[in-house]
Amino acid sequence: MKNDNLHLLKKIKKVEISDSVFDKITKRLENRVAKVVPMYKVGIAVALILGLVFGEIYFISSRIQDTQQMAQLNELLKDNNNALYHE
Amino acid sequence: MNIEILYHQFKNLVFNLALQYTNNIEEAEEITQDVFVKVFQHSKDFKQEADIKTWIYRITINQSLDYIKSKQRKKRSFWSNIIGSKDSESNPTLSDFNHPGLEMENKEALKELMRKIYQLPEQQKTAIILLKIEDLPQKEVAQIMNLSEGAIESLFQRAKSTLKKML
Repeated sequence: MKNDNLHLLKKIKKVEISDSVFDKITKRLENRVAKVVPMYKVGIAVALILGLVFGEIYFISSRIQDTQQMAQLNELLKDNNNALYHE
Repeated sequence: MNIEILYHQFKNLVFNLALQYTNNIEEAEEITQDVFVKVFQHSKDFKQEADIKTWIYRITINQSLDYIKSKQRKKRSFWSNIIGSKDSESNPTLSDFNHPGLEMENKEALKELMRKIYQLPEQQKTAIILLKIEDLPQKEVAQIMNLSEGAIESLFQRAKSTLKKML
């Protein structure tokens, strides 16, 4: 049926795309590759962070132990001092 | 997959198809870039069930429809966002009409027709574009849209009916 003008659609011409588009595509692909971080670098970063965290935990726990030992030693010395005084 | 060979083989197919959706050169170029970036990124996912031309057609159609939806979302006014109005989604309007493929002889009639096609629901729009502008056989359109030939015919008839009501 011609009254819907659909026959006119066949008259639409095909158009050539601009030459610059390919360069834009390759630039976008290059940028995308640059943004993606290689997995081995991610692995190294994770290992470093975990190493720091565990190192910090070890350091803190050893400091706590030292503090506890010092406190026990102080208690012992206090008792000894009192005994000596009374003599 | 060789990027350059693939691009030169399908660049005008993609560009012209995107142009039929957007009716704007700059937007069609942007969609073309999106399509080929996607094609090159997902070339490993390409299954050999359909041929590469069908695959590229599908990507172009999806990218074009997504582009139009995204453009409509940006156009929605602050107020329509508040009240949740869906007017702009159900009746998309075409601004920046710049289709270089329209001849002077029938330009105004074609421009009006393309504006109406732009407002069709997505499936009907795609059926009309592939059948009547791309001039593809119904079998190929069915393959691209992943529908039966009967469904394509039904979509085409509905599109015609919708256009008649608009015109």
